[in-house]
Amino acid sequence: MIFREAEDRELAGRARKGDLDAFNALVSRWETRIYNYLLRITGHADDALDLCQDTFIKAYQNLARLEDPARFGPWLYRIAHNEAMSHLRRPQRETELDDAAAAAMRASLAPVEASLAVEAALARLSPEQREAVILKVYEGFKFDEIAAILNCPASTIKSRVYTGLELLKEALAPVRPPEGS
Amino acid sequence: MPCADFDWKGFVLNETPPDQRRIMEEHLKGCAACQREVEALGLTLVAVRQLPQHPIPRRLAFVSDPVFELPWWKRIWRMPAPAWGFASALVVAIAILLHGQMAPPPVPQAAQADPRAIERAVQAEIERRLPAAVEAAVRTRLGAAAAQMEARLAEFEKRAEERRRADLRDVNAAFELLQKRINNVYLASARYGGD
Repeated sequence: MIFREAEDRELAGRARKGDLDAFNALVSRWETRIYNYLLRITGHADDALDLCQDTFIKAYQNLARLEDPARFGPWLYRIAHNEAMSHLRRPQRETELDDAAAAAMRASLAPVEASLAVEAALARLSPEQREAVILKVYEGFKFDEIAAILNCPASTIKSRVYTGLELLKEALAPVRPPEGS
Repeated sequence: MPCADFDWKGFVLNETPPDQRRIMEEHLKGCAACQREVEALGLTLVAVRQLPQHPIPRRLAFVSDPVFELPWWKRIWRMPAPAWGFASALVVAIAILLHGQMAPPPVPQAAQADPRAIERAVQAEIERRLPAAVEAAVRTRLGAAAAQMEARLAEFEKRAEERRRADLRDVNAAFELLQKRINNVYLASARYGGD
């Protein structure tokens, strides 16, 4: 994480000076994580891809506003979050996972039952809880970093993550991997 | 410390400070209920993290791709503030240089100079220029009269010289006549017995 921040700082610093190759390198480093974050929030592969593209375009246009280049990651997630929220506020064509996204999410999972159970458990969380859990469990951010990304108090984030984790624990109890696996 | 006071979710999520974590680890060794809670939370996280990251379906367009190339006026408009500042300073510097090259030399400021020094300088300049200017003016205005006067003077001198020579000739002639008469007297006296 420290190395990633150091490299992000250098790349973001160069990108702020107009080095397009440096920004392209940042895109390559973060696109998969941002795409998966958006995919888990929106549930639509195409929407996630479009939002991912918009996120990086806005990041490039607003690079001058990035106060600390070492914090490029949380800053990028904040842009992605804002893009996702703007998208979710628009009328949606459907609320469930589209077929392509659902197929993609299930494709690489084994066993299938476990992945279905995890998806179902995540779907039972409120959008706020789900996003906080995603940022904590999948992206590995600290509570204060998530608070900065979502623009709300760290205590609220902690509450959302704890509640979400408790709900996931209850929902996944029957399919948890057996002890020692 | 009772079990309920321990934040086991923070423990499994690595949000517990190191000193608190050591205390909780010590408690965990001797508490079966807390061990079950931590195990359940840990297995939940393992299950949730089984969802893998999906590869991005297609390559994102880079900002360096031609599709994102901005027109020239937008590129100028998006220049950062330091670049605008530098460009402005450059334009001002060029304007100052051009002004310096094209404008007349600066006039000394009267307020900054010593009045006595100025007076002395003006006086010296007048004294330096005045004789030549007067001579030039006199030469211009009196040149013709002077030439005429010189011509008249030359003519007068010429006439005076001619009159002097004429007078001299008359004197010589009178002297010769007188000498002849004296000679005649000498001759007459000698003829009649005189010395």
